[in-house]
Amino acid sequence: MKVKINVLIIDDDEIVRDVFLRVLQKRENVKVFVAENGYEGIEILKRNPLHTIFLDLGLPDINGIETFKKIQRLNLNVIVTFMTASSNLSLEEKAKKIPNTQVVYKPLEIEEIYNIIDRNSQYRLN
Amino acid sequence: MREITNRVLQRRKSLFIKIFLLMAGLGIGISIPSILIFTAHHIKEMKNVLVENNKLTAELASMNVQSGYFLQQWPFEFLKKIKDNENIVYWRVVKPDGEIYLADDAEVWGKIIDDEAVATMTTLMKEEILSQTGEKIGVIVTPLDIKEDGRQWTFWLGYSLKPILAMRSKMLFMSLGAGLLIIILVGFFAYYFSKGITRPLKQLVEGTKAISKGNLDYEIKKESTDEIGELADSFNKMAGDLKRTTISRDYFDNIIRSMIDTLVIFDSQEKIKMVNRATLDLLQYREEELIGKPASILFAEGEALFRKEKLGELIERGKIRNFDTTYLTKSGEKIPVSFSGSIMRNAKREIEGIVGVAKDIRKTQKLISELKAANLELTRSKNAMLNMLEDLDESHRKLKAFHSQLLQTEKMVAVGRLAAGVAHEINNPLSGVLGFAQVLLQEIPEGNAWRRDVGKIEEGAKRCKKIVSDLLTFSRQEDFEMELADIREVIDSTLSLCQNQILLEKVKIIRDYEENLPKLRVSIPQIEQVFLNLITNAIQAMSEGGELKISTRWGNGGDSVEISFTDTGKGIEKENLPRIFEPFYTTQEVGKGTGLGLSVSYEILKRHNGSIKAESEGEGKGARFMVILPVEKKGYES
Repeated sequence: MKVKINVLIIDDDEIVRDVFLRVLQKRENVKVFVAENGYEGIEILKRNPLHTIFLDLGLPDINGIETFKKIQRLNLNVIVTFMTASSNLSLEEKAKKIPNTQVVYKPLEIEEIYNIIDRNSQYRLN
Repeated sequence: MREITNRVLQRRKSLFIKIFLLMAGLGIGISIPSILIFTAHHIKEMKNVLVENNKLTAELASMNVQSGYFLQQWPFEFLKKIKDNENIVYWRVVKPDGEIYLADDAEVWGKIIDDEAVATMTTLMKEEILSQTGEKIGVIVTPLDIKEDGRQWTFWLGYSLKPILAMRSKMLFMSLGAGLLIIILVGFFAYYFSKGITRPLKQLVEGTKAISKGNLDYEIKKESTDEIGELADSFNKMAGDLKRTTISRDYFDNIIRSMIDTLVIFDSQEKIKMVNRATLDLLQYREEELIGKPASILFAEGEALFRKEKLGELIERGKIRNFDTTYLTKSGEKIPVSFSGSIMRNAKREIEGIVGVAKDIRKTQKLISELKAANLELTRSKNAMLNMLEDLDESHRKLKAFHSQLLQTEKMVAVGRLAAGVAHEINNPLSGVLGFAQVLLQEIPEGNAWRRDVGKIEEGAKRCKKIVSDLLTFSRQEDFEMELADIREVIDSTLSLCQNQILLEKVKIIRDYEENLPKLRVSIPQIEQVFLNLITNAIQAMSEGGELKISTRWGNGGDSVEISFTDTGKGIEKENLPRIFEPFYTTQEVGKGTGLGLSVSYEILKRHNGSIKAESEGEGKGARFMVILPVEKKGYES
């Protein structure tokens, strides 16, 4: 039985969101959601059961760390991967200290994206 | 005249006000309280209805939230409907410690409420001020059946008090209007009533004042035959008498009063007989305080006019001119004056008194002393300027030396800052280039010519990625994990990384390791990066084969370890040696290196408190790079 994996990308840069949509397009068992900022991401989380989130650290309005804190409140069983364009080192340091998450550096290679989603969905099914 | 009229007006006004207040007080005292009682009753009724409504809403919402909690599915849709009512300001789910767990506005999640109502066991009503708008709102706090450490979670519903406030202000406006109308009516009545009483009195007072000021031509108009009228007659008669019998002193008084300089007349006993206005103003006395007092009261202690010799001179010569002395004010202030006096004699040539005129010369003296001070200040400034010039010269010399030291460091820092600044702008679009190139590579079938082109795009994007990440080395301040390492093992593991390249380019590696070198505290991946850069550079410099000798030995009398990489490649021109550690300096063909390898190495060694040096005898004579790493002083054992 194939399980549908729901993935959410929160990034303010359209080109980054587009890459994810295109890269994951061919994967039949993956459904992709995208959000431009933290609040939009939370609205999607309220309505959909999600498994994996790619969360940009340098978001405008509320940054990735603050968005993560709000996501935690929703009591969801979701795994977060932080993305950074290496422009804010202090946020990067903070993110590295959060347990059960990881930090990856842009630009991501597609193998990296597949690996993260596969690993997270396995962890979930176990 | 104006002053007189004002005073009279004031007197009339006070009488007018008394009557006015009496009438107005009666009117207001009866009407306003009844309006207020009526208003208050209505406002209370309306508030009760509103609060009951909101309380019902809050209880309904808390039941929903409670079941939502246990079902792990928060009732966001229901809560959104509550918030759609424009009189509801907010809703919040609050933990017993005051933390806002959820709310309509995600921005307040996690904030702490400091309020006694937190964890209440019963439904509470309270009011609070919204910090954003300053608006006062009502709040209903209902307990939820969710417990944590025996204390309850609560549901908070904030509702707007605007409907109540609007009603209240409407009522207040109406009662104010009614009150104002009453005040105006009573005011008009009182005004005309009091005017009838006070007019004859006003004229009498006006006349009295005028006569007392010396206007003897003034006549009071008689308007009635009562006591006031009789009084007016008496005053008119008195004014006439005064006019006939009094010789006006105004003319002389005016002359003396108008004198700018002070004038004092002493009698033959040297007592003050008369002073003018200028004297009183200068010395701050009232006239009665001076008349009859001895002359010495005017002079500062020790001043000479009334010492025998000066007085003798005055009496003998009849006058004395521009004698510098000092007056004393009532408050004790000393005023320098230029004094002139003359003897006043009566018909029998007997001395009747002394006339003294004194001119205040403070301004002149002040000017002189200011000039002196300014001159002194100028001299001082000149000296200070000379000292400053010397200091400036010295500072300039020091700065010049310091500046050249700073330049190199500054370049590195600037590159790092620039890299961090543009990293976001480059890495995001690069995500697009790399991501789409890799997707295309998956989709283009094997053998299609496009594969090669898209492959080039991917390769280019990866190279950009490497350049940006190298540049970021300059701005990263994070602490790398430092550990004790045998430096020979680090060299060997780096060599194994580029084994392929070494074989391909036919380079011979010669290891010359000194025995008994201590372990060094380093970040192994970083030092590996430095060695990798140096070995790769050496191999690329020997494209037709050659020898790379790597040696380790003690340096600086045992304080450091030196690792040198000597190749037989094409070498470096002498004039280029000072520039090779600068970012983007490269002699390799375009596309082979990023131009950052040596400057990244320089930066890494600086963080290890080490250094790197380059030597070359010139083109074609090979090059030697020497890495120097410090030996840890304490806690090391070989």
